[in-house]
Amino acid sequence: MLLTPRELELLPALPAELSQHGKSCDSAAPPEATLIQAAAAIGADPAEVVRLQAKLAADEILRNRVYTLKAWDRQLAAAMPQVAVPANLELRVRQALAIAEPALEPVALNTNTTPQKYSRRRWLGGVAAGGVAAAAGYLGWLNWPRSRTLDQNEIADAGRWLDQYLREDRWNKDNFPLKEYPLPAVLRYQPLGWQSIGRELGTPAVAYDYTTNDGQRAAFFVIPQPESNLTTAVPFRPQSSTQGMCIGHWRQGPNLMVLVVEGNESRYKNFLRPDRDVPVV
Amino acid sequence: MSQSAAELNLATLVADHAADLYRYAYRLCGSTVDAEDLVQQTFLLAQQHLDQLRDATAARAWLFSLLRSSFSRLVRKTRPSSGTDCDCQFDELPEVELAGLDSPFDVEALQLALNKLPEEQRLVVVGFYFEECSYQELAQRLQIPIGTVMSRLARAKTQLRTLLADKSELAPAEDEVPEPTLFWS
Repeated sequence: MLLTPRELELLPALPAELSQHGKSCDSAAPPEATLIQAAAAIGADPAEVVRLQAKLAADEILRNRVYTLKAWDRQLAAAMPQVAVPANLELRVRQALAIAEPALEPVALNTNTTPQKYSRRRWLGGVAAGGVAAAAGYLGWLNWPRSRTLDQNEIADAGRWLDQYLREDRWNKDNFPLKEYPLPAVLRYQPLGWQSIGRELGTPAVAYDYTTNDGQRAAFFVIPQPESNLTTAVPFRPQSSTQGMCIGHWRQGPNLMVLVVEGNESRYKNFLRPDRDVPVV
Repeated sequence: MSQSAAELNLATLVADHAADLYRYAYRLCGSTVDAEDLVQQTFLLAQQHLDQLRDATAARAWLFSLLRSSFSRLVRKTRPSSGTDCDCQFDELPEVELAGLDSPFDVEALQLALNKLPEEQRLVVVGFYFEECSYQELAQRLQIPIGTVMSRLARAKTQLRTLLADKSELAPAEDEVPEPTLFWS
């Protein structure tokens, strides 16, 4: 029941009928021309293949063993592609590439159905308000870089005003505008919803709603700013914090990106993947 | 594939090939997280170099080669001294029993067994089954002699049979990092 390692290599070159179980060597043996052709296909010496054929022809037990070996190979071939593909893989790839198709659906990240102590809608309103206020502040700074900056009181005022507006559940759950307002690959998670905030900012812009399985919450803002000279470096540490939220911003292509995360710096960092910090146009 | 090169676009490539690339990547690296990273990295590279793809029928092979390159870089980066393969003359080794043939094929344990193979062997055995190409084509894609393809493939399958027959060898080593929990799973 022995084959040399070299013979094991050559086995695939043999026509399938050679080693069929239960057949005599005479009925199964292929013509020599076929063996030579098979050897040529793998760059082997035809004499080697002919010798192997002769060895198998002379030993029915070995032939049956080889038949079993080939059956094992087929099982391996069948098992190899049996890999579960994660749900929404395509969606995440498209997000990483900043391309989208109209029918894209988000993944429902928050499957927790237990009662919550806080009002998620209210929290989102707060987060979005802070984010939009911060974004508005950045926009103001961009437009008048040396004239003024938005101070904490102004951010708070803007936050309160927007909180009232955003408290209403205006988040869209489908038709994500990922083509016009792409999400960067550096974001670890997927959005649950989105809404236009153009009216508040006075320029077309979108807010994305982020909520994760483990309770981390955030909002992300994409604001077209083709004239911006902001850095494209992603801030992996928050640049500012206000009203219990950490905020960071950067530019990606023509868009200003603003990430607002509830909680401390470690929560903010958890939303970003440094290994995905690649430029996406 | 009946598309012309002009009709190719990234969204189509993602729709057509992302799942297959993920399966291929997972069999190569054994980690769901790394597999998805490899797929994303592959498409990012494809996005940057899409103009190089002139023949639509070659898209699949091209994407697989991009992923293979990313995988090799990942291995070099994380396990620089993992090479335990050798290209010594396989036919100089003694005769071997066809081990493992009497055991039922264990699909679940396959990945653990693949993880035990040296990178060079894994690239050949996984490539052979996923890329559905001949020895000659595989040799060209991996840029190794056809004899090396044959010996690595035979050796890989022999080792897989042995590992799947004796699963005591399949326990992860202490220094192997456990699979992270997927956020979206």
